[in-house]
Amino acid sequence: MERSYSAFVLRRIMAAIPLLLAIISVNFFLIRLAPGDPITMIIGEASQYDAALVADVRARFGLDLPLYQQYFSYLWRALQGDLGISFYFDQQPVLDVVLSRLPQTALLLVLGFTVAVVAGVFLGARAARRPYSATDNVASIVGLLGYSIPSFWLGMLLILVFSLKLDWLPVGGLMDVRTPSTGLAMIVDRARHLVLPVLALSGFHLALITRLTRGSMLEVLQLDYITTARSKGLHERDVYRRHALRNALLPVVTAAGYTVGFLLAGSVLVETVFAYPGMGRLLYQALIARDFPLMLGILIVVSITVIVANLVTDLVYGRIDPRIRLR
Amino acid sequence: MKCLPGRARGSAVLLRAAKLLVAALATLTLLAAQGGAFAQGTRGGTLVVGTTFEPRQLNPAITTSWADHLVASKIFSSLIRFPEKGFPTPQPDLAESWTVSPDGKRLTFNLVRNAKWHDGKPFTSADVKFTFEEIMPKLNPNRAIFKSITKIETPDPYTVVMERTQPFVMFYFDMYNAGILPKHIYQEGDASKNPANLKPVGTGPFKFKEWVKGSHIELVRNDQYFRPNRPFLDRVVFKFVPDTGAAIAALEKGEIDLMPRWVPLGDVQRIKAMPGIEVSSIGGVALAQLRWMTFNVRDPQLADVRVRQAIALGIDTAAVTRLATGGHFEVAETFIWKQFPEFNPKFSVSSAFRRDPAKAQQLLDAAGLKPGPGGVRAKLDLLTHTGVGDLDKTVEIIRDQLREIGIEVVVKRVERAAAFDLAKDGKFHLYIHSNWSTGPDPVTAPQRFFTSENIGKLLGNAGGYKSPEVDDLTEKALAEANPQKKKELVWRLQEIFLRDLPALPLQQWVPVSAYRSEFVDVTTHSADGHESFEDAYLKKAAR
Repeated sequence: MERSYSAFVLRRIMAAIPLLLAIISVNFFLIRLAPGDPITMIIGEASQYDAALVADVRARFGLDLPLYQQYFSYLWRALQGDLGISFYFDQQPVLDVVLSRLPQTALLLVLGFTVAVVAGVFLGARAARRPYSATDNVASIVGLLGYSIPSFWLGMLLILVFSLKLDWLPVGGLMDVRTPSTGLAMIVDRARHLVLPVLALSGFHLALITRLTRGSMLEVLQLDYITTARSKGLHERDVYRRHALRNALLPVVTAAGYTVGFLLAGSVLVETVFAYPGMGRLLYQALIARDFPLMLGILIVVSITVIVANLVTDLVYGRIDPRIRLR
Repeated sequence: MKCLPGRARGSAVLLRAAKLLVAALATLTLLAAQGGAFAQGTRGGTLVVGTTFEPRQLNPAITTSWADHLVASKIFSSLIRFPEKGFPTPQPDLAESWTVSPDGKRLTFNLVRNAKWHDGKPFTSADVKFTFEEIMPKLNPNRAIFKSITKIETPDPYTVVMERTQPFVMFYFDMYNAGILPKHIYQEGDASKNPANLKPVGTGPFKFKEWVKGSHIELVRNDQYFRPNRPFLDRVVFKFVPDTGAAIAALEKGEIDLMPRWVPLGDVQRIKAMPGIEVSSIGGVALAQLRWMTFNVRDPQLADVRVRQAIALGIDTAAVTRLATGGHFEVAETFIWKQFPEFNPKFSVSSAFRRDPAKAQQLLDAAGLKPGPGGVRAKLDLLTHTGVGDLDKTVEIIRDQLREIGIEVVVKRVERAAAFDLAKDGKFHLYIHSNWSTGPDPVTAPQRFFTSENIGKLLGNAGGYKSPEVDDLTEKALAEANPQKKKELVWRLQEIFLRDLPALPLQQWVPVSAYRSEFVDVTTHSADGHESFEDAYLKKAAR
């Protein structure tokens, strides 16, 4: 069992390599297909009358080479872990810029994921206990709203209610810059700044997982083995938790795995609305500035994260469902 | 012409007045103190500036990015500066006075003697010479301007003499460098890669403390600043808030105190109604930003001036401006601001082309654009960009108005950088960009946007308009030192602009900033964002 497991992991990692290569290649050409010249953003209005300067900058960033040459040289260096120099932050290697923002986004992601999955499963299971009851209806309506409200709009709404009207939480940013704090007060300050972004980011996925858990629970609860469990005289709570929920969670695990990728995509908008200095906002900034290496660098980091998340999902799936044979 | 610093003159007068009063009546000294220079501001407080864009780096001499200058202008001092009040009269900064030769080509700056770099080293004329010899002509994006400086001499540590082939445009000493660099830090190695670009050392009123990437930059008071009793504020923090909606919420809640430039016009009324918040539109005059509609004269239909005139007659620019900008912008009349001394109202486009759909249709008939099915005479692509609410509205109203004269406008709205690219290649019939800088020299716009040498260049002459007359007049006007002669050349350019109509002027763009009313003098420079904040203060040092 263990041996086949590690072989499976190894195979999946090997399979991820061509996938990553394809992602880099497609993105490399895709972002260059969009109109807009990074030179405009790097040197601004002077680009129009100083041809020598334009040529200098083009040469400095290798933009004067034929596209295929740029591609192969990028690929070759990327394989060695060198993602180039950011056009916009032009003294800094892309990898440094991206990695400096990664911890903030990772924190947002982990919290958003936890809230979505834990609260989603809890609410979904709760709602399925008495279908069409008041609790279930409320959960359904909230779920429907969460499912249909775009995250940036939810973010603005949360700011309006919790920051402006109730004055409980800050509007945005990483920390209180007017009166910076240290020690425990700093941790509390940072946590306060995270509450609304996490809620905005997880809203959609919370709704999704709630609905999925509910539906799956209702389905499972009608199966014969539940009837058997009940007729054995098991406590209803045990029937729910140990028999029904465990099986109902299988599709939820799959969905949770995909959630990671969508959360990362959502972080672009949420981090922008909440002025949160993470990778998502960096991607937005890179896009506006046509910073090709920075955009690619972020996309590579994101792709690796998603590939790993899917791998973990498969492994977890194999653990909790013995019917699945990992091959 | 000897320029006495207004500030020194002012305080001398005050001093004399105070002496008189002390001598006369003790009760009156109280009034002198209240009205005097010392009672003006109060020490202390933190100003939090919420800015949409994070700077790339903080060396002002190698960039023209507004985001970089917004922060750098507080850390570095220029030789002179241009407050909006009294524009275009320069005020002293590191140069306490200066003289200009009659032909405008020789400039002598007398420098302040007590300025120190933030690391404690003294500031001297060697730093000025170094900045204008080694940095500006090589690394500044507008280096062409500084390349024309032929000689820089430093007869003593506090005097700089410069010579140029063309008359000096004083404004360049402020805006386009907005900062003298320390020679002792930049003399070794490549200045564009100097670590000090991210940890700057200047002579300005505020010292760099910390840059938390993506979050904020913190500056603290420079206690060694060369002007006594300045600055007032203890700290200035630049917080990066990319979303304007969120920035307004942060301003309302007091998390930020100043939102420079990027207040959407659609929100101005709402912000004005908020208690404790003021709206300012100071800081537009120097760059004189204009919004116009460029005609692509390469297109066979638009090559006919009658078609361009018909379009001008089809649009009511006053109504467009009122409806689209809530009256915050003024109607533009030509390629310079109406406030410029060189503006001649005789050549106002909006009075020459008052809206007249009937006359417009006659012109279109004459040009051979007869109504087809559904009354459509021509179908034109209007290229514009996303992200500016009042620009969206401007475009929509123009589309409606042109429909009435049988011109169907197809709006192509793309992201800003994409629009620059398409415009450069002439892939449009009509093109409206949010705003172009046309100052401080009145020849800026003709040179950049309407001379034939800038056809096909990024941010250049997008419409492909060609006129040997304009090329020639532009060159002459740029080299002219005599203000009266220059004015006449600019008039002639306005006349040709009205005759040929290579573009239709729409609006004069002004930066709209919002700030918490407990702060005073946070927007003072004629190019918004370039104020040093040395005069800014908090009314009651409460925070």
